[in-house]
Amino acid sequence: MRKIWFAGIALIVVAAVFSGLTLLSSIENQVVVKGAKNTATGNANQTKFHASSVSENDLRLMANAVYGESRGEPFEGQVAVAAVILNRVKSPSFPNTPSAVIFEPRAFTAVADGQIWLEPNESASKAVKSALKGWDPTGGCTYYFNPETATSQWIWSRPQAKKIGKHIFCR
Amino acid sequence: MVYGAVSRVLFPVALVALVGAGMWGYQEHNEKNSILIKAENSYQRAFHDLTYHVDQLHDELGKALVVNSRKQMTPTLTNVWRLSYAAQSDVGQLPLTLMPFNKTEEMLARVADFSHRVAVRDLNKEPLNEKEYGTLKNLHKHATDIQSELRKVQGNVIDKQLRWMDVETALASDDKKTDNTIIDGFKTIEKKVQEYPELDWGVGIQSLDKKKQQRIKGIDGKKISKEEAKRIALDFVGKKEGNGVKVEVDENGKGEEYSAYSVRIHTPDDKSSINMDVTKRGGKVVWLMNERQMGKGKVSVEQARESGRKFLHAHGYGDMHVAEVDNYQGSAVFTFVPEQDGVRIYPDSVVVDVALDTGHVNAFNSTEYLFNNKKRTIPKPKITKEQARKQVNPAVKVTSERLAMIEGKHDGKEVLAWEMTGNYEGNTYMIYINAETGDEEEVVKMVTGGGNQPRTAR
Repeated sequence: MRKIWFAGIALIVVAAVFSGLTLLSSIENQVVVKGAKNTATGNANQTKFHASSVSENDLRLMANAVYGESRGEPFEGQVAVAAVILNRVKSPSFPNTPSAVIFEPRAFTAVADGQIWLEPNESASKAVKSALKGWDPTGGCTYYFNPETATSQWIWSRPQAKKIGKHIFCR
Repeated sequence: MVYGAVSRVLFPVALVALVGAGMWGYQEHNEKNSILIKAENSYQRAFHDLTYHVDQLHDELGKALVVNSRKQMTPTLTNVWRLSYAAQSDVGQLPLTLMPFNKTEEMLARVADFSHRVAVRDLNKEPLNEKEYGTLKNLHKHATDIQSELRKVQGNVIDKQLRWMDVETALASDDKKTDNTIIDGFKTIEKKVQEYPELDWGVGIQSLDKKKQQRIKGIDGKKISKEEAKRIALDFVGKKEGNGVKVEVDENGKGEEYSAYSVRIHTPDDKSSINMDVTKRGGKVVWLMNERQMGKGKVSVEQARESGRKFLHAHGYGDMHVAEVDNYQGSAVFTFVPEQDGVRIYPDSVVVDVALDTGHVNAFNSTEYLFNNKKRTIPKPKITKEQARKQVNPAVKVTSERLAMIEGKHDGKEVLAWEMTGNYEGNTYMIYINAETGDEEEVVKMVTGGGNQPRTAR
């Protein structure tokens, strides 16, 4: 009799702990949108004379996307991701604005799992600015994937250009 | 007997905990369902918007074929442009990324480009020709097909209460056996579009396409080996192999727009790599990026500009002039263009990033120069400076002018233009007046801030 009671109580305690943990981790996953620091235009001594291309906020959005997608990648890899976003904007097969490309359903995993709202670092912002100035390490690619985690068969059939860091870039 | 007491306390506690967990679970379930419904509604809206826009697009195309007066043609084609742009944007909101739908998206983009081009043209001077009518007729036929397929799918969605969330799961699981009406409907559209013969999109779009093909064919020259690429790369940055300097060369696949080797140079002191692409034909360095960490800025933008100029001169680019300057995160980035007979050649631009801690070139990009550079004979302008000034909006204060070769927006062919730098309501604009016809070619808004303007120092 005693054993049954203990077993029952132990079961309920385990269930409570488990549901408590799930609750806590789900709160952690809701990463809060932090107000991004205002970087570039604050300094009055900065020299600037260039054609206007995207707004400051679009730049922040792209930096977020690049950071979310390629945090641990070398700088070249981050410029490559930024270049892919811009190549998609230019391409007729994709939406016509950076935010539409980034938020296209299922296009970027960082958007799908909320990593896009993490605060980007300096390297990601610089990568976006380099890509806007024309640097494209991928040579015009519009797709990329991580060969170790990709599940779709279709992405493997695209003509591949090169591998930078963990990502293979293709058209 | 103690156990009796313990159990008398613990049992109700356990019961409460169980009921609590059940209630929480039920709440979570409800929340999940409401979010699912919100996502579903969002997809449904995009889908029904798409069908609506394609419907209207089909009607407008039909109208464009029937309309007789040129006055009516412009608003009709403008509507076609607006509707195909809207349809393209709707497709971008549907979870179709894992399914190839790009031929259809491409077609919508082409329709938008074509109708915009024709709509903004002066139809009195240049009315629609036979070929363009032919294209419109074909587009109308294609639109009929797409419209009927979409209507079928839409009918099914409403009748059988199909969900886009199921489409998403089906596409994500890559399960070939799932029978999904929506996916099948879209696959049918894509297949139909693929089977359409190549349409005559007219001079503008066709020459832009041809230009892209030429870029893809790449630069001329002798084919070089991996070893030669290594040597060219090391020469370019002034380093020698050995003493901890390691070089890797990658062959790269066919996916790149141009064919090039990727060279990575690792130096022991910088702890990071210098990456660059060297073309397989001609062995030209397309771009270079140094990934090192940068220190505190010690060099001024002026000195950085000189350093950039010297670098270009040393690497065979001749005398170049700064057209644009941007300054961020420890670098000064200059866009250099060459001048020929006093005319700035914008298509041959080279971008140089100079680090403000060492004054050395950190990154370099000559993709545009490599693809556009060619022998040119600059024509003499038919319009004088003063005549060009008269063409500029009188509200704009023009501060300087010069001649420049720019890429024409109409068909991508290079055009000689007067570049007028002007000020309007605190913003700087570059206005390009065609030096042969006096037409306004282009207006570019410039972002300015602080420091010296590049044109004051040569």
